[in-house]
Amino acid sequence: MLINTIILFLRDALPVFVISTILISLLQQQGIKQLWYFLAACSSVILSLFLLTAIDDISHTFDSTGREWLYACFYIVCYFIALLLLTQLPVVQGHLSMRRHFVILLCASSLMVIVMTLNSANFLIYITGFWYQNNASNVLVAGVILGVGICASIAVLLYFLMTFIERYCRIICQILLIFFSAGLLMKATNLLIQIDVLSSERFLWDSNHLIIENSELGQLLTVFVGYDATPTMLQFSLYLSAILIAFSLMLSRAIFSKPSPTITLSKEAA
Amino acid sequence: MVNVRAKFVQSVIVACMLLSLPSLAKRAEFQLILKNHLFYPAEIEIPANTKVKLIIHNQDQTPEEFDSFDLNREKVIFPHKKAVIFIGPLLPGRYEFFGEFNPNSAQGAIIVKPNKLSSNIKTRAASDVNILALNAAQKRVTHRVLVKELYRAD
Repeated sequence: MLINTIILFLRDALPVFVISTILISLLQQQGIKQLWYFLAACSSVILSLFLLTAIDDISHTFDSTGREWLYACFYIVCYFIALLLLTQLPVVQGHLSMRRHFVILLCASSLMVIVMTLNSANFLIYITGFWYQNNASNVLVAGVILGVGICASIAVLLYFLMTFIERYCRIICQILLIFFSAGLLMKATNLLIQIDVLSSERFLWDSNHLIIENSELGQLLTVFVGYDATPTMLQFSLYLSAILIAFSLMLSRAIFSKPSPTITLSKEAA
Repeated sequence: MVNVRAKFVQSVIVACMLLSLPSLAKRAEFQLILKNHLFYPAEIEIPANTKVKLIIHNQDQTPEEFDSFDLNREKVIFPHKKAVIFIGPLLPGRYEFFGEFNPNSAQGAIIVKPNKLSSNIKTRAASDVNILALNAAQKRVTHRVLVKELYRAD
């Protein structure tokens, strides 16, 4: 049960730690302080508790497919929020207008709240279900502590890695955000295939013999790049197009955007 | 610009509708019960190349998560509730699943067997071929007998 708790914790909590690191790094570069993060985290905890109490009823709507609909819709929304956030980030670091500042904050907070609420509710279902079992609480606590340790280590390593390579930090954060959001889209397609909304063909390949999806490495890859050991053609094409759309958006902004007036003024002053 | 946007939205809606067409089809249903962290029956046979609806009833006091890497499915089943998932179309073979919250005890497999209908057709076709061959052989014999009789008559 200990290993199981750690694996489940990695599956549900690692995305929260990773997205937190990416968003904190991205917003720090824009000179936005971390108050938004604490507010988002607090609201996520409250919302996940609400979701935990309601998920049983939600999952029985739409012929017992309510949970899939809810999660898939939110994951798709997350992808579009990430796209909006990428378009709002200035190409050249400079002063942000009030409107843009507000949109960036809103996007980051909502992305954080959605990911944290959905994942926390998932893990809480497991924890609350097994808390009262004989001898289970100690194992659960140990598993959670170990899980927090692993997730926090990965998040801290990622954060300092990005701080050390300051020059490329912004581009790395944006690429990580693109892959992370494409991974969420992949999760959404998986859920929609599961409830027969999207058609499911045979798997394109099965890479479980190389990297097992539920192993520690598999979970890590799933969080960072949306790894799926057995994707279908539809999933693969959606994943590729999601990444291509995000990259082309980023590229077009880099090509067509004008340098911010603050930078120009500062250059003139120099 | 507005027209282009409206057309784009329309095409997205049409694409979504086309993609969701499979959900309108009626699927064959298979039932699975989870009791004392064990799946009953532990093995279910389903036809090959067919999408089926799997209904899992959780009769335990704790939630369970149906998980399968082979099938690429995972779904939480709440205590004393049921969950629905769709699986397939699959090639003949064995596809294992387990309860993610109790992986040591809750284990099972989906056995995908070649379609009975197609195998029936094959059997019938084979017997038809045999009958035809038999008829042809009988005809050949009759033909030979007739020819012999004609020669005798000559």
